[in-house]
Amino acid sequence: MKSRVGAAVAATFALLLGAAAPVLAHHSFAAEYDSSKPITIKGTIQKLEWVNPHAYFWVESKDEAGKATVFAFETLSPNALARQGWNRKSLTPGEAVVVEGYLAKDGKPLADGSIHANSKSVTRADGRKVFVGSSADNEK
Amino acid sequence: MKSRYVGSVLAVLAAAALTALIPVDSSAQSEQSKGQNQGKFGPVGPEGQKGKGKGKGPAAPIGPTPRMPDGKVDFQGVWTPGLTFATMGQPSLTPWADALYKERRANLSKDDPEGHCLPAGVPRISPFPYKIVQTPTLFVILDEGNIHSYRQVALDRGHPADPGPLWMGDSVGHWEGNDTLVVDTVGFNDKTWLNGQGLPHSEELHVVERYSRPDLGHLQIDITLEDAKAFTKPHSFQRIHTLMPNTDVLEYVCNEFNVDAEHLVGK
Repeated sequence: MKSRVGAAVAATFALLLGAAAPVLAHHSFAAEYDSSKPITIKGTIQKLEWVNPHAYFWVESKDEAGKATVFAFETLSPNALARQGWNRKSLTPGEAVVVEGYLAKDGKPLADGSIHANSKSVTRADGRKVFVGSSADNEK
Repeated sequence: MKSRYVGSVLAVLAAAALTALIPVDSSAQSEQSKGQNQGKFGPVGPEGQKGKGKGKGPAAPIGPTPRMPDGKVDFQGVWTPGLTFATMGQPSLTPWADALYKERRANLSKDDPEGHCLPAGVPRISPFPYKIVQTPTLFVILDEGNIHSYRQVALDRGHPADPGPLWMGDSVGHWEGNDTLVVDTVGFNDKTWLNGQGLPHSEELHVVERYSRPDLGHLQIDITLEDAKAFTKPHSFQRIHTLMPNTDVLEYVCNEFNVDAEHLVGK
């Protein structure tokens, strides 16, 4: 019960944050990503590609042993991000971020070997959030 | 119990998203204009941090219905469907359509043509804005979403004898008085889905849209779908969209980096 309430509160909080963006993808979220596999990744921005139908950014994360893993996060489309006032300089290569999102269902990496995931928000070192929103917000 | 939480969460999402989605109310706009970034694409704050989540609902611009020099309604402008983009109710399906619909639901919409950057068709629209351009003989819809497609509605001809099969159909229009533009579309292929859930149609689909603009800030579209192969009876619904002043449709080139296509696995 407690965990369910906690989950509901967390979900509500996430949705409030996510609601700032006009949502959505051109594809079904549930067919590609797993809402039961939420992840929080701390790392540094490698690069950001301002491309359609979704902008992508790559985050390198190191475990306690120093082993690095690279995640490729899908975010909203450039037009949706631009309407929120964000652009390709909203994240800078090398900066520290915390990304909340979901893993892809198929577990297959992108062509460059990075782990495929969907971002719902990115928190910068100063606490400001950018790229808030995910196609997950539109799932029924 | 679970459904109650899901319901409340969805209600919060709907309320919050509606608040945040649509243009920006006048107070936010004046705050923005005092601030740094009125923005090429409309009023936005630096890094998206301002002007949102203040609990104020969307405000459509207020004023009388604009008119063309000939007295007909002027529909021109940038319009946003916001989160109501998918509004269409639930048609009564034939067994053929019902089976196809259930198959698509079971697959979690993995084969949605839009996910593969193909046209979404008519009357399906995306949550992104669209722009209407109008002349006495032509009515044009420039879609930011729907893979950046356009619709041309000819006001000076009828349908060709055998149009299609077409992704967006063949659209012709006529005026009823000065207030309503009736758009009639036929000649579809059967490849598009009527919504993201996978509602099917056949090549027999016939779409009638009645456009009116009750005031400056609202576009009303009354839509009727007929498709004897897919629906047991005609299906009607209404969409109300909101004017977005001081902005424009943006670029959206779906096929640039659509890595989603190979990762849409469904279940």
